[in-house]
Amino acid sequence: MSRSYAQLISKHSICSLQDRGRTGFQHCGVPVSGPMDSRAWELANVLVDNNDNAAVLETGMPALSLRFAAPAYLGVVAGNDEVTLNEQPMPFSQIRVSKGDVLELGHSRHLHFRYLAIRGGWLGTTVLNSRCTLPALGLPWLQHGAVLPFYTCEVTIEEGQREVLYSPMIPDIPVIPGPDFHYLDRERLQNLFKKMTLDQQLSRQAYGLKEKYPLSGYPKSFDSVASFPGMIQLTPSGHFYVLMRDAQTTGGYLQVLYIPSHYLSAFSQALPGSPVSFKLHSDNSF
Amino acid sequence: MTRSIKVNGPAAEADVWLADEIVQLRFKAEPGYELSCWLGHCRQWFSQNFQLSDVVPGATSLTLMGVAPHQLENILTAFEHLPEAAYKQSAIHEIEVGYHPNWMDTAEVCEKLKINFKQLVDLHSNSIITWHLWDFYQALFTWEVAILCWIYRGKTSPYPGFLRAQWALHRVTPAFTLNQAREAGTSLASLHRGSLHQK
Repeated sequence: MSRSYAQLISKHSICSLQDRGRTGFQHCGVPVSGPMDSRAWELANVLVDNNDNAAVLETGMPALSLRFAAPAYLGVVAGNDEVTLNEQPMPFSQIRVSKGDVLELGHSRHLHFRYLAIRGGWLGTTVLNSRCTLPALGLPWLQHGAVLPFYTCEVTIEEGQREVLYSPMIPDIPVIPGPDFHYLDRERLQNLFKKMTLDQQLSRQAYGLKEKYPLSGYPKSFDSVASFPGMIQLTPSGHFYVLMRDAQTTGGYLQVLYIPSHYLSAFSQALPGSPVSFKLHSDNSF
Repeated sequence: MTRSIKVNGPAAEADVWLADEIVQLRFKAEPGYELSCWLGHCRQWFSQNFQLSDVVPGATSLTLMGVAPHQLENILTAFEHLPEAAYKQSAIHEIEVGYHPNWMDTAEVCEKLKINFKQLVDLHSNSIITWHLWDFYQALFTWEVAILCWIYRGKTSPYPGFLRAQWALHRVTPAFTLNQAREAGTSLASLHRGSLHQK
């Protein structure tokens, strides 16, 4: 088995490698990371028969182009009509590429995060038991010119090429009360959550919401407490921030609501500026 | 989802919040030295006695990650019967260590403190750090000199048992260099307490 590589040739794309995440170091201040949409990430790996912790390329909405230096077998989770191979439309989610082929994911119109798995997994530096990109750990975002190594493998004509449709969105994102939920007026919050809007600037650290919910009784001081993906924080100015995979590990804002991990994947795929709605559950039995 | 439990420690009671495999305990007590020592002790004790993915202390809270459903009741019951914190059984000494927040890079911090990266992680995971700021300008990056007092115990323990860092983590961990992080990746697995003392 020899090593080869693919090179990122698009100019405006910023992407990352993601495996299951970097667990066990939150007490040291290291975010857990991992895929924003873990279901799409898993699907991409399943498409190429990878193990359940193989690193997958995660890319946001800008177009992405990769040139392959060797044959490879890819699993792609992206929107319809977004994938081309050598400028020809590629309707399949399992794709065989040859040496010199250029695979492009056009600008996304449906998903915030798209996933590109390669058989055997992308090779990248392992830091703290994970390949997840995190600039603070010396693993920078992958940008124009970045080289992504992989192990070459036999790709035969018998390998499947088929289309898989992926639609993560659900109408109402379920949320449950967080540890500081008692600060909120439940009835007022329920109305507010029926129609909310995401900020234009979203990141792997947090998604902000445009609507504000200023609290008259916001505590003047608040003891710092562990924070983690899925927690919805309320700032003194009334802004909601949903902590995502690269979230800080401690914080000093009220933790008012929580999106269970199963639904955080769907939420992460919401596009910047798009409307979102939440449904408050009084218990976490779902 | 939220319930109260009794606790054997500086805080007599805690509110428990749980979701997915995360359990967060908010202790009904004021933040302070003794509580912080005790939380560091709890972090160590629960990490050793339960298979958890992480235990993250806050100022007055403890968050346990990766709690399997069958562990939950055992963990909550354990809070009622925690053994006396080890830090209470030994003498406490103080060392003053200079630290300049503008160093920013862990390599420099290690160099100034004459410790290696592994020992630095150990300190941050298990020590109480008291900061005294001489000056604080409006912009965050213009911090001036701070003094750390790392409080540790000795004599009766084979290791110093550095207690827990409260919030100094933010200042250092984002500045890991690749090599240091690589080192941590290989060394944290075998990390044991007291390396600073042994040195």
